[in-house]
Amino acid sequence: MKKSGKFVIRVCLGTACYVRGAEKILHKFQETLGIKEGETTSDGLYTLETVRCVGACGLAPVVQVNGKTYGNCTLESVQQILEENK
Amino acid sequence: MAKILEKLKTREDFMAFCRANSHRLDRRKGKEDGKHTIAVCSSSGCHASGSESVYDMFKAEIEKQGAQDLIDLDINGCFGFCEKGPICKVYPEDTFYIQVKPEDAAEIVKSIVEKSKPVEKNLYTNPATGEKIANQEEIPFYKKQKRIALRNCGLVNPTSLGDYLANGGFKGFLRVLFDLTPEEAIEEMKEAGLRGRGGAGFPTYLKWDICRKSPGETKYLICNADEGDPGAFMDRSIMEGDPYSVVEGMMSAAKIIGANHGVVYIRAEYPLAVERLSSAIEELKKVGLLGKNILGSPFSFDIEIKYGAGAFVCGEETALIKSAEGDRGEPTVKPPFPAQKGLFGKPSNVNNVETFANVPYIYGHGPEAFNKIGSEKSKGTKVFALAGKVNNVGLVEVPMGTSLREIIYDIGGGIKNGKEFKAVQTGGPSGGCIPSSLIDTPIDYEHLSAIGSMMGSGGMIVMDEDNCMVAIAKFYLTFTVDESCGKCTPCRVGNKRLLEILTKIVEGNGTEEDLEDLENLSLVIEDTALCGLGQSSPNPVLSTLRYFRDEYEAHVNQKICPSHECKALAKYAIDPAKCIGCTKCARNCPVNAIHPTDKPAKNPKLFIHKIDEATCIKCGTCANNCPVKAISL
Amino acid sequence: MINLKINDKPLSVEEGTTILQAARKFKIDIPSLCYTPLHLVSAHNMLASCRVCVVEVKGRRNLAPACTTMCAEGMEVFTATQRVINARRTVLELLLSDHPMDCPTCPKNMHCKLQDLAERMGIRNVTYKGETSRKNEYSSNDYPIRLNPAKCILCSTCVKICNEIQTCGVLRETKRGFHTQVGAEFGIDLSLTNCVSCGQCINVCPTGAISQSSEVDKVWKALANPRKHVVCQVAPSVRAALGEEFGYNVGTSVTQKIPTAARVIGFEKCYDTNFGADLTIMEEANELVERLTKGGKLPMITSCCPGWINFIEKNYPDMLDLPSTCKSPMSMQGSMIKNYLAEKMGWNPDDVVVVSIMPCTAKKSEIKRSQLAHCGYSDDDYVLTTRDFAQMIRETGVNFDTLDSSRFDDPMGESTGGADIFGNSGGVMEAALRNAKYVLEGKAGELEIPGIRGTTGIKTDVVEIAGHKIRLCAVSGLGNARKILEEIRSGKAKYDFIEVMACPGGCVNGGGQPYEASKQSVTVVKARQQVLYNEDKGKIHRISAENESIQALYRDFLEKPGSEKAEQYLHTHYEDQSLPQNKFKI
Repeated sequence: MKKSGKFVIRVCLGTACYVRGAEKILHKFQETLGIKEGETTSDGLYTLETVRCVGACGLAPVVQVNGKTYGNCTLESVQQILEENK
Repeated sequence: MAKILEKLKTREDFMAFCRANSHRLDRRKGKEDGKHTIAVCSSSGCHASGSESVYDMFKAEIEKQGAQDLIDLDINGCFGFCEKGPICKVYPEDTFYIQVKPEDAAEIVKSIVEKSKPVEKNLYTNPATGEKIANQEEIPFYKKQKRIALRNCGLVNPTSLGDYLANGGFKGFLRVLFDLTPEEAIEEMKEAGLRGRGGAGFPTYLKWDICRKSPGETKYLICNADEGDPGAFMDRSIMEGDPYSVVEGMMSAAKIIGANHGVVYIRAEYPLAVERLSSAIEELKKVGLLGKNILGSPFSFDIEIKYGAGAFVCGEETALIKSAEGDRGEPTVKPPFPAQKGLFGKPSNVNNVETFANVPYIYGHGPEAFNKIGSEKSKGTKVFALAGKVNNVGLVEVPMGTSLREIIYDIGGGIKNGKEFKAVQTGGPSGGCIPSSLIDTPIDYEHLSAIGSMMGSGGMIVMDEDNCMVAIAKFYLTFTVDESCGKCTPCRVGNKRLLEILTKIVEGNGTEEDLEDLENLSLVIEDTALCGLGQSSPNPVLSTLRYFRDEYEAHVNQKICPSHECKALAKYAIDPAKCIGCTKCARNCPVNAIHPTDKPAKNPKLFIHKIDEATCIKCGTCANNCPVKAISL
Repeated sequence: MINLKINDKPLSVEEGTTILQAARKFKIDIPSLCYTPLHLVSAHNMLASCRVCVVEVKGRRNLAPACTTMCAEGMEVFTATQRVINARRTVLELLLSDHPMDCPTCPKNMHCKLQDLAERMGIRNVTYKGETSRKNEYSSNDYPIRLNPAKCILCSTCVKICNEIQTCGVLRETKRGFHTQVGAEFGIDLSLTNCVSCGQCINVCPTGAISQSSEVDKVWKALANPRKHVVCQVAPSVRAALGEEFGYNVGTSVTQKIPTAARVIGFEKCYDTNFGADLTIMEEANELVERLTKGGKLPMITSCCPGWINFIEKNYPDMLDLPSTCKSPMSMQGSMIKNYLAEKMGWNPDDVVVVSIMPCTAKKSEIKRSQLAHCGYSDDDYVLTTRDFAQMIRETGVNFDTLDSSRFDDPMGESTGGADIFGNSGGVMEAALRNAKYVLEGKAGELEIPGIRGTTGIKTDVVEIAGHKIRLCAVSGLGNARKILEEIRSGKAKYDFIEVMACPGGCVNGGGQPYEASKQSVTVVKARQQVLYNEDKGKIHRISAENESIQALYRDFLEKPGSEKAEQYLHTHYEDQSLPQNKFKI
């Protein structure tokens, strides 16, 4: 078992989120943090994960950070979410 | 609720109990009594948008404004309009507030205290006319809906048995328990025409009848609450918003087939649904509606909750049974059917949550009330989780036979951002993609399967022009491959190979032959896989191949993705007519793929830039940085 | 009777017949892969998971697996339409696309159902290519059973044998989806599990996914060393099955070709494990008589079968006082070769290499038991299975058919009929009782006990010897052994003498026997058993005590059964080998 980061970022890849561009958001996180899905940043701050449908399809695309849900995410939200959690 | 001192022992006890509770929904149904109720949606969707803090803020505001005697604060089940959450309703005025933030609470409470007009900024705006709508019924999203399975969702406090009784709860069960023989009850179910809402549409009466006639002392009644389709949340919303109707449906079914043990097999990922169901079961045990000799009748029934570990295949009834027995969740060959040899080898009946939620309505209102709704062979209504690129995302319940157009445009409010509608996917990973040309197809079991999709559990994902259909097929196959149990060859290896071919195509390495292989393999998997899930797993591929073959061909022949979704096929280019030679793109390119040409740009000292395709990693940084939008796909 | 049509041909079959059974009955061939009838243990593996046997049934939407679909009145079945053939080929290609395809070096080369099928379906090219799910690598050669999940087609027949028939509960499906594989839970090493190395999984595996360890190379190497005296001993069951490897009918005895073949390979001496069996009987019958007459612990359970000993040590550590303390014939013989014969032959025991040719994989674990070593060397050095032995014979290039008859080498070549039947379930017990009768009644009655012969899993009988009514139970298959042990523990079963063999039907159906005929077939096992019963009948002496070489051994060296020397060289003890998780159950 690997230790996960202080903030666990879960990008929902359920269908509703996928159709609304969740994959692009995942890529943006990967790019920004320089880690792949399942990895933790070297400073131990962020772990990036994907989940399959958190059931909040109305808010697609959805990102959860330590259980808190961010709905209607855009590429711009990525920076915001990271700012908010550090 | 009237305090119960002892358990209900007879029909008369129960009737008295009902009478004691009959007033409970009066205010919610519009009857004025000088007081008001604010009900905050407490289901997962609104919860995710922060309804809990909204509730807390209302509580604080009511106290602050000294309105404790004027306003009751309560919770509600899912209204279905999750995108606009958190949703709150004020009764008896029936004001429908959307996107309520904690800071809005003060104003809403104030408007009630001062008897002023509803708070405009939290009302729904009709996008077509721009007018504000205060009443739920007037909102287009709800206008065409017909709520049977969701009849209590958003009306009652889901944790209140009294609320449930006040809206006619257990009327149907009482008939089944005392007034109808099992044969008569099955006959009524046959007349009502209810079919399994889990996807396959098997007639419910027939399933019950087979199980009822199966020899055996011990029988099990199982509720399949293992909702595993990504993008589907109908069952979760029902369990969260109206747990008692699911339990009542199970009780009636159990009485009819002669089962004394009930099992709810539910995803452990649905903590709120589990909580609501468990507390409903506990409450019913407390009042004596579950347990030994219910209301003095010979019928005894108890319900146990078993948790699924989130395996999609466990939604298949034989795999569900294996898993509930504590075994590896793999489907088994039918026959024997669960009705003959199910849980622990005993005759078992498996129905899905939504099916059970319809049962109390049918026995409570009679079969005609149900079968007059719907189309010729598909009666009643169906709940869909409408999601994707539509304006109004949420849970909708419509009569069978409603057209896709009505759902997407009238209820769903059309496509987001004025984009063009391309396709709608129904039936989850087992379903298919329906193109815009078939948008007038009536939604029922027969029509959906005729066009290569299926009802499934009710996921309905709308796609627009930006969605690549090959990528969508690949998306679903990724899911199927992840969720295959691994038992039979076609599903275990076949779907993996399908996914590999699709990956090859979206990465720009596909050939014409791949399309043939894709089709052959899909057909063989459909023809040979062991369980229903395996057999339907190539549907996303087959339906997209059928309706969007041109997109596949564009990927393999011209190596382009018409929707620009497939990154590997994206080609960024600089429009020389627009380029001003500012070098911003070249400076920001992470791989140094952009260089000046020898052609001067508008400013004669600067040069037009060009992207070297071989080096480009298609990250899009250049396009994002170009000040004159000269770079595009 | 049910009337149906297969390929337009009208047929009648009994109710409860599957399409596959119906078709085979009427010589209509439907290829199948995962479906495995296990008649000997009254089971069928019919998971319908491979989907190779699919057929078209008129009126049915999709294709039906013939192995599990029951015939129904008026059914019309088509077994060879284009749709069926294409589906079958595609499914087979899918299996092959996730298969290593290293047939020439595979231990099951030419014995593989998947290979056969690919040949029959004329697969010359695999259309679908892609990632393979599991690593093409065998587990360690240090353990008798070797797994290579990459070659597995997930028919789960081994899982059925291991869990339902042998009740060892080791093999199971682990992981999910594309990465599903069969092995021990969490992929741990078999040596750390409840595995008893009976090898029944090897025999039922249709591909090379389960195989045995092999020491053929080491044996060749020893044979090439001029300093070494490499001798072999051959178990009774080998002679009942080795012929199958060379095209002889099942049930052909090849006893007299074996010593010749061994000498061709280069073994200095070829001894008969039957000699060891006679020695075992001397000791075991003596122990039985002692326990019966002096109020010892009953029931006494036989101890020749290493799979069984592993089983009781791992699962019933509280009952280790029940098995006889006698070593197995193989170990007794190995011990006598090194500790007695070597000196007589003028060999330095350090240079003696004993190679035991056995029908068994568990014997490979037996020779590693620390209890079976004296003065630094183990009783036996290498175990070859019947299959290994056949391979070595083939490697020499000799034509098995033209091999002359010859005799095993003396003094450990002489044996009685009692030793021959050691390979059959019930045989050890029958031989022991003959000897016990001889000891107690002092006369040479050629006792035969029909009640404990045959292939049934649990056989019981009672014999009276010198006024003692001895209640007998002969068990084969470890699930049956578990049943009897539970009954003993609960006090329900009352027996005086029990024989247990781990493999259903006895050693003739051992985990090291030729593949083709070993698939739990009643006919095959019966035929092999008959070979041994015939050998018994043909022997001049049928009671172990009448073996003159044995008598000489006792005169020269061991003194008498149960003597101090015999205890030292021919007896052993058992140790608690239970896993932590088994301990909880007790």
